[in-house]
Amino acid sequence: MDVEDLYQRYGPMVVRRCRQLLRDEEQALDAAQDVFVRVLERRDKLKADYPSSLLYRMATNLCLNRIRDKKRRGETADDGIIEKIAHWENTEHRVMARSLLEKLFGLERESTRTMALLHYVDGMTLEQVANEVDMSVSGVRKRLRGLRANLRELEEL
Amino acid sequence: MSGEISSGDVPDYMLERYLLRELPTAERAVLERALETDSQLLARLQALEEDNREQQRRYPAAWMAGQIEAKQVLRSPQKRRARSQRLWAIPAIAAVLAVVAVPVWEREEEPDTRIKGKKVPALQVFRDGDGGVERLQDSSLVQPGDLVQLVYRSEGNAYGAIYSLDGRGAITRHLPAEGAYAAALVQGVADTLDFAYELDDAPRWERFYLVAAASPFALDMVEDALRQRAKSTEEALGLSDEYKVSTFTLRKPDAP
Repeated sequence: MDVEDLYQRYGPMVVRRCRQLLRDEEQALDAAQDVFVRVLERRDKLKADYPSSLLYRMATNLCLNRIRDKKRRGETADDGIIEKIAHWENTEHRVMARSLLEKLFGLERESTRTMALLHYVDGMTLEQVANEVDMSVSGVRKRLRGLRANLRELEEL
Repeated sequence: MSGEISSGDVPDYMLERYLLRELPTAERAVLERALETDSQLLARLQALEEDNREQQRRYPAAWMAGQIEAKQVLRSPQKRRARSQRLWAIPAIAAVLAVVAVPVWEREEEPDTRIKGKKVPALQVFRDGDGGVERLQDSSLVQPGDLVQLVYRSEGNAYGAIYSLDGRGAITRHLPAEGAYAAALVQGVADTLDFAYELDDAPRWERFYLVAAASPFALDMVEDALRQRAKSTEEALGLSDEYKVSTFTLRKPDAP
């Protein structure tokens, strides 16, 4: 896999996604570079048919982590919906840690935060999100229900 | 997806995949029908295409690939330090510092150093020490063997060159790596040089010069000025106003 070719094709999309979430050009560039580093590290997981799907979700997840970390360090006072979704992972991780089955089978779950962002912020339908993360619509709905209960602001969207 | 859609129903992600020709056939057909009649949707698509062109101009894929590969080296367990007696190129360490340097820069406020329509380019120096990477201040005390990484910001100047002059009067060119003319500077973001350098035991100081201008310029003019400075204790290069010069001095242990 040639990183230059990969960036040439997918770079602008990834930078745009990072820019949209981080709202800062330099931070977006830095985050986009990190996305491609991860792609190179996990190149065996990159689907040959639709790499854009994986890259878009990786960028989303990485940016949410950065937003959450900035919030923890007190570097941002922003408390918008994206920041709330970003912070959600803490609770989700605690819940996931208690799941014995997931521990036993090592299942890798798509981040609920990413699904929430795709649905509530990006405006994708539940069906589109389900297709994107390879889950059933009811599965996505169930995961989002837990988040929605904690983030009442989402219900108003 | 079936039926008709309007711009409000189409997330950016769908347009992105359409541009990349990675949208499933059925969705593509629906989107293409909508694009024929929905001017708002078409405008969004055209805006993405325009941003693609702008990004390719501002962040060429070859440059970004270099940054990405440098970061990958950072995460590689094989990264090692190299040692030498003279300022020496150490790509792996450059990568380490490049990654750490960027966030530090991001937190910095924009210096107000505008002069005659162009800002003075900014030069920063980072050191990889036992306590991790630290950003050095002008006149910081350094030791022989310290690894330093140069980062510059062009501040709108299109061309530039970076040299260092040490306490023995030795001149070292850092940018461009080769050629007789100044390099095209990266615009809009802080750029980390491809190599880090290990300081040698030259006495008193190591002084870095970033010379920048709006147009290409010959390097022998800069080198002549540096040779003059090597004979004196003055810092300024004495170049004409069209050149913006930023200096950064590192003091050695026996510095006055």
